[in-house]
Amino acid sequence: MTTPPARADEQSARILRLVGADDAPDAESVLVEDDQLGGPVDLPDGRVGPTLHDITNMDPSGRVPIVPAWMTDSTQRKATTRAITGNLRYYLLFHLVRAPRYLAKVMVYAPRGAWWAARDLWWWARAEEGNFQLRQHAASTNDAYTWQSLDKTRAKQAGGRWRLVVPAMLAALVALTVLLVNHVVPAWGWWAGLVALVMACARRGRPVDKPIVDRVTKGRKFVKLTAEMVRNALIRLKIQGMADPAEIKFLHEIHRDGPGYLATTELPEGVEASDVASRRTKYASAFRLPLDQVWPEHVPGEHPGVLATWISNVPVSQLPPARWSLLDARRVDVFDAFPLFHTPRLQVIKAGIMARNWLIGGQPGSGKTGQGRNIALAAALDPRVELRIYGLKGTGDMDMLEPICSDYADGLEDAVRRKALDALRWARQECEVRGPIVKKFARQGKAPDNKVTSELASAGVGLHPVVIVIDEAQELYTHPKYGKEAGELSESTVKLARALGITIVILTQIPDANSIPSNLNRCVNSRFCCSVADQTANDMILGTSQYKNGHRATQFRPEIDAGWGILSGFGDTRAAHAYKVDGTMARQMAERALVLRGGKPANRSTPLKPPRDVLADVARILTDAGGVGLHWEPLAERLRRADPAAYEGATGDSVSALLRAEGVESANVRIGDSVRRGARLADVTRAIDERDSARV
Amino acid sequence: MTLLAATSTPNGPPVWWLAIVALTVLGIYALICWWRPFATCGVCSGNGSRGKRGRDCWWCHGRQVRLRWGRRVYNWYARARAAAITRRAAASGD
Repeated sequence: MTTPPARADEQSARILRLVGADDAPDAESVLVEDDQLGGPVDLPDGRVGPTLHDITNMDPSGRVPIVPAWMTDSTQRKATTRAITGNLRYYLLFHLVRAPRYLAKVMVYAPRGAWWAARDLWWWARAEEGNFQLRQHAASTNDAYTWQSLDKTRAKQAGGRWRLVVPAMLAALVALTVLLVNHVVPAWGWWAGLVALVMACARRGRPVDKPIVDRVTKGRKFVKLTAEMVRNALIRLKIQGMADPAEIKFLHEIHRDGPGYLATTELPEGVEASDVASRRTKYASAFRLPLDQVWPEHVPGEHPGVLATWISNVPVSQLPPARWSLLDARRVDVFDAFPLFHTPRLQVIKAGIMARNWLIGGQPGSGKTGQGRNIALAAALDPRVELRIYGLKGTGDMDMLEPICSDYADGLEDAVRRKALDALRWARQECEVRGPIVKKFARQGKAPDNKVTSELASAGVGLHPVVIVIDEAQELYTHPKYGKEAGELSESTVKLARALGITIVILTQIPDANSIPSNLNRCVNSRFCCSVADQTANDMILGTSQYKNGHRATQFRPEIDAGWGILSGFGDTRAAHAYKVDGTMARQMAERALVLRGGKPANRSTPLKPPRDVLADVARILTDAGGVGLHWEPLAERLRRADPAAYEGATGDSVSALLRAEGVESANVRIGDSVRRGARLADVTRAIDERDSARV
Repeated sequence: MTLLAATSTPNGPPVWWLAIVALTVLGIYALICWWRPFATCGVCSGNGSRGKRGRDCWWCHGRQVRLRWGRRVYNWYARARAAAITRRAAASGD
């Protein structure tokens, strides 16, 4: 390492100083500067670090006024006073009107209460509690010894109690007499004492379900959450390992959060937040609150024992619905996450639709179609997106999107199912087209993760985003004719198309092995489970054991809690609410989307190639071969020869299966002397006729 | 019979008055049987034995107390009732 000239001078001067050539004060003084790395860390002289003043000197404008604002401001003061007096007046009148009724109740309950109280005192002083029953049992079995020893025990116990009760009563009597004689207590004091005594007796004498005073308000229950309430509620859950309230720690002060209160607690070691979340009903009972005011959940990013308990001021189903920010959005980039849900606390949950596939399930009336429409509407606001929507319910829930869709069908007819199947076929075919394109760009470094990016989607190279929505998909998957193919196609497409910019959104009622192919169910990475009836349905949508882990969509009620569901696939699985969008809002959004696209569905992709018409091919070959029929093996061989690309590897069995799927049954065919299984031309032409008539 | 005949005479107390007295006495006796079911044995006068070092009293077996007759009757009735209930439950196939 070379030394710069200026530094060399300095160094030589230092050496001079060291050897004493300079006027150094002492030969032993050592310079340590050479060992320094970096600049000096001390502050300049006379300036000490931040003082208490610096830290505490807040901006005076942020200070809380010394006298509360409602007291200094005359308008607020008047309003507050008026509100308080109004309430007082109401309470007074309310109870005044009912006073005779209260009096009658007291007249009945007070004597009884006095009698009960005296009896209780006597029973206690005699120490009869528990002992009496045992003595009776001894008498019933003619057991004199036991009776006597029990009575001895009781008498011993009662001795001390009598010595307490009798002097206390005497003292009270003497005190009362003295007060009466001295006239220390004024008359009203005696009356007040009497009234208090009578009221206490009446309270003791009233049945537990008949309060003497009527309830004034029957409004919603507003609760200010306190640490004691949270601890008590958690202990009441009787979760193994959580018995000592002191072990439940609060990570920060309980505070307002949105329209409610939030308490973040650290549970005892070994107790999971999901243990609490899965007992939400019990938890709500421990708080004495309606179920949909209590929202326990795990705090994302913390260890599993950190629980956030959010208590809303009113049941969330009564909260005004949150407004969706995309209602006013000019446009959306589907490659970014955008607001799609909100939590009970009205926090926005952003979700994406690219590189994802959606499964949305729930019982009828749970709001799943609404959520599917939300996704479609959001996607529509990106003009690059090609939308294909199939409503198999036939109620036209998404009709407003029809002008934007490159393909739209809605109805109960088979033709609609056929179109949905065609869309899946098209998606599969599109995957084959897009794969090589992405590969090419990946080689050029333009597709970093071998995935379609926002830039590639805009480049007009045939990689624009595609969103396919199938509502009531079980209608397609359980279709006797299209079901199997649809299942296989969706499964492979869901696996392949994710990286290629094709998103499939499946809306269904409870998916099971029949209504949704189980493999397809497994491959979907974004799930939203609306209200379901049971654990099985819950786990069908969210995945096995999610119910056990506390993610329970069974807690939501159909219709009342429409739009609520459990969202999985975006960070922690949690309760989420789909934004409420009514028909008018949806229509406005769709109109805006249409404007964005210049009035026409943009980006229509390459149309679906007419599928290989196997029936036509076979019919042609059979006609060439004499017009009767052929055995499977020769037929397969001729097919291979006719179109090597399409029928490569075709065998007699595979051709037989292919034709059976099209409605041609295997039949005995005589050629020359040999009778074997094969296809008859008559059957094939009939199948073609049937198909054509069905298409029209 | 002579007593009843006597009560029906216009000079004696009426029947309902006697009935009330009898019921009250019976009630008090029932209360005593409930509250103090055992009484001093009358056979041995509460000694538990005959003579100073004699055998145990044949009636109270040396317990010095005996069960009151009222309680004895009640115990018999309660046991019979419980047995009947058990039998009926067994017969109905529970």
